[in-house]
Amino acid sequence: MAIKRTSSNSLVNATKMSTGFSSAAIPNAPTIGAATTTGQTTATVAYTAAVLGANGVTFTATSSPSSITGTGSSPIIVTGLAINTAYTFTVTAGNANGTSTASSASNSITTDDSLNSYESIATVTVGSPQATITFSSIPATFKHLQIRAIARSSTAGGDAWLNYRFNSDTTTSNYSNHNFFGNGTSISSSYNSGDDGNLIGRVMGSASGADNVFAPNIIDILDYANTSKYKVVRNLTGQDNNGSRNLVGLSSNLWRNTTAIDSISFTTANNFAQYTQFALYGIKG
Amino acid sequence: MAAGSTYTPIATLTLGSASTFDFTSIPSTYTDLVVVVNGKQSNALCYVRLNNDTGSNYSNTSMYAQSGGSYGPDKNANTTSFYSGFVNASLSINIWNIFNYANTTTYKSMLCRGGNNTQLQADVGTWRSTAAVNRVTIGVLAVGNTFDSGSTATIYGILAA
Repeated sequence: MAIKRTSSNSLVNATKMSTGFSSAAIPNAPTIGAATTTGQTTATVAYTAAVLGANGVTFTATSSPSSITGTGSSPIIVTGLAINTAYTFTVTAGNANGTSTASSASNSITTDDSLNSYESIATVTVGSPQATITFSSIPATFKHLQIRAIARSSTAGGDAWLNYRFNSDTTTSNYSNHNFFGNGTSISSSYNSGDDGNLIGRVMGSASGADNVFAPNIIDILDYANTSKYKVVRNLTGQDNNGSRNLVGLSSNLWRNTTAIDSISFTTANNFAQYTQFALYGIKG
Repeated sequence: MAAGSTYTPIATLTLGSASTFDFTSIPSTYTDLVVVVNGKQSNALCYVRLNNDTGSNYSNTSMYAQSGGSYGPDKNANTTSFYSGFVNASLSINIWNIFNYANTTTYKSMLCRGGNNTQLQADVGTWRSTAAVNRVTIGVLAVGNTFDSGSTATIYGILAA
């Protein structure tokens, strides 16, 4: 084992020192790796232990500013950071004899913005009546999707269900739904699969007296980008025209397909009327 | 494709004494409003009033399920507020959604989903006005019309791309 003395208090070796020479030595500084934001208040910090010198037993990442620390092996998890704040990190190695000097500073990271977990992706507002509303090229970068819609039919008397289709999948047997709804005087439930299996919400018809009334829908598509599970969809929906043509409902839908969803289209029995609006949002996990 | 972050908190109110929640001077810069109320009172429905309009311009369609196994429908026309949500002496959560609130062309559609340890509630409602909403008042349909002290409410704005 080739050993050389480099200073009065530091012994190094061509390989990791584990002899009695290091028993009183403190470790050398680790080499900093990548710092990565993992949430609103958390980050990870990678490092490589020094090859030369005494073994480090405890590795500590320290933030700048605020000197918030985390310990562990690489990558070290640091918690308790402030939201939407820039940090760099250094890492030290410690053993029974003391603590190393700090590594050089990491790259700068910024923790997630507290408001950054819900993003608008795209919106369709109907000008002249149209049969289909489509969102395509949906990025796979979110955990869940939400669609907030107000919908009205351009055809008189056209109170109708809102239907959806994922990825242009026309295999009706891939869709099913359960519904629980009330019309103001009674409560009922339904199950549909196959041809009607992709109904999900309500579209207000433009019958007399309802030209300014729209049916609201809040549709959640859970874990839409995963490729190992069928997709679950839920909706809170309704329509209310001052005591008539009422319906409030909750629906749970299933698309029996493990493909990531990258397009969604909506149709109804008649065209969508002017001012109908569908807004697509992404929710980060 | 994503256009940026939204779901922005506009204001939060915490009641120091029994009162209603009254959000005023709401900016018109969003697409939808969401109001989350964490409140309590004796068993009662809640109400939402927009722009302090006390005219008979509201209606609702509702359904509920109770812890005893009963459930039922409800509807009201020409009311002076949107009957929706439910509170009791335990802490209750109700979330109201007011769609396209700043537009001056259509009536305003609302959805509410809420409840507590005794009742689940879902409501849809319409305010028959084309005015932009700049004020939201939420109270309780019980004596005093107020939530208990300590109840909180936050109003959020959601901006569509």
